[in-house]
Amino acid sequence: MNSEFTSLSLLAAASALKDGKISSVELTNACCDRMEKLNPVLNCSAEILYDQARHDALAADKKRATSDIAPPLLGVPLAHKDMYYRVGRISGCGSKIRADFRPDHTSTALSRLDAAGALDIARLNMVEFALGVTGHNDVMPTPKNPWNRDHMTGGSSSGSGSAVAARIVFGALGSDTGGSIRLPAAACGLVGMKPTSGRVSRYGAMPLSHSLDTVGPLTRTVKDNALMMQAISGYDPNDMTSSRLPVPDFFDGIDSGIKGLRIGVPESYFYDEIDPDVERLVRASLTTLESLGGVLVAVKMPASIALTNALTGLITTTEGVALHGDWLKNRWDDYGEQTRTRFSPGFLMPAARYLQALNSRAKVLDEFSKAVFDRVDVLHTPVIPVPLPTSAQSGDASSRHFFALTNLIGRCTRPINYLGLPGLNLPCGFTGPDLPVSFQLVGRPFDEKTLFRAGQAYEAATDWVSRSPDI
Amino acid sequence: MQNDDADNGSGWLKRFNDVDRTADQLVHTAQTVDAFSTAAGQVSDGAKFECEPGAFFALLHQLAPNELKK
Repeated sequence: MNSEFTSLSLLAAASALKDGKISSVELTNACCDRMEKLNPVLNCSAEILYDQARHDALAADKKRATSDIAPPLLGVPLAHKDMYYRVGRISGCGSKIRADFRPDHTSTALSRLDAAGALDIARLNMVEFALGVTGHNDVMPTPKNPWNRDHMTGGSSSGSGSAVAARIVFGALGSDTGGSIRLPAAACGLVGMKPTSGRVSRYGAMPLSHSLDTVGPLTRTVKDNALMMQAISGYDPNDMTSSRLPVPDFFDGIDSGIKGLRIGVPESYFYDEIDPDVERLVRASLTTLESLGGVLVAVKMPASIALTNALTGLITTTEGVALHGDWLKNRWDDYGEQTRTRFSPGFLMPAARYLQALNSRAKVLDEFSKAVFDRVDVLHTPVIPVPLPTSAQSGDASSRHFFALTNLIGRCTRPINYLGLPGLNLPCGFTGPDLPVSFQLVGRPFDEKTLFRAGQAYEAATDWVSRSPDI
Repeated sequence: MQNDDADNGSGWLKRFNDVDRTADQLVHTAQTVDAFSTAAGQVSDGAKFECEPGAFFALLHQLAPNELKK
């Protein structure tokens, strides 16, 4: 019974709860049992919150039995990257330094999922302080990829990717500063949404780079993702960067198809360093989208796009060092080598260069928007441009190839953070021994709705989401 | 050139951040800083004098779908 129910989509699980086919207690027990069984193999969880989960599941079942109105996620077990604060509960942030940290407030994203009725059954492992694209953590357990444990999960929401792909929970929050939702989603064969900057409140989420951080979900299907996004999106007075623009109904028209949707295909940059096997699968997804009525349009990228990978790194490391300054000075040895290596450029960055990188975002966005969104509705790009590296290949920070490899892994995701745009990761096949490949749809600011519609059309026409790892 | 950068970086790191890193440990870091700094210099070439980070968020909202702005 356990795998039968844990393999459902989030939407199907919510529906089964609503229809009384299963109770939240049964579903939560199934998820906790699977977590307990697989965590020794996958390292995806920092803590399984059995008692709280079962208490909350019981309360959800009681609420459903006694109320005519049930919130949309009532009784559905989720778990989240261990950087979303919940008052009084440890939020370790993948670190030794915060291993005992108990925040005095709860993140808005968690509060909103609570209000939607979801359960929070575990703290999920992550890259130390969310700084890293490979998924490795030198100081805490490194989550394994359920599809192939010899290969990286992608990061930094590595535990989120691992747990959702392994059918342990139905969805998980990640965070994305340079690709940290989309990269583990791509590596683990999941749907991952990096929303527009300002669409989802970051209040109570561990900061890495206040200019670039975003909060979003990793799920197994597009509709699951839309469901979580619906719950967490919208203005929050506690986050001064959150937008007052209204949140549309993401399900309105989600099944209406993409006939006539103009899909941009970049002529440069995004395919410059792509592996042929990955390119074949990514371009095959274009063929599918075209067969569904999408109109493919070649788009010339502005020259400035080639600078955005570096500019995202510049801003992230500089803002990160500013936040971590005291700890880096006083607790250097408590950081892992990868984290120290990644932060180090921030120590040496001239302040004027940092401000130039920030000041130029409007200009670069304007150039990108004119080149892309004056001509098309969405842009289609690769995500990880190479077959998934092994953990050994991608885990050695002392290697002279380390910076080159991490630059390559984040090459297609970091520009979207610099531009502040929404990006939806969608699985589109496998290379080699069960190594997932994905593509990304990039939308206009605050137009996540179109991305969900296009993603749903693609998902419904393919069978990638029906496949599950053999674990 | 890059070794000089690393030497200078080691002194800078100690002076302003009180962190000990040898020049050898900073060779890759210096290369990365050089690449990042070059990108920032290039992207700001010809930039408007009147610019500030807030302009970016204003533009994001300006480019949002019209139906959200009604």
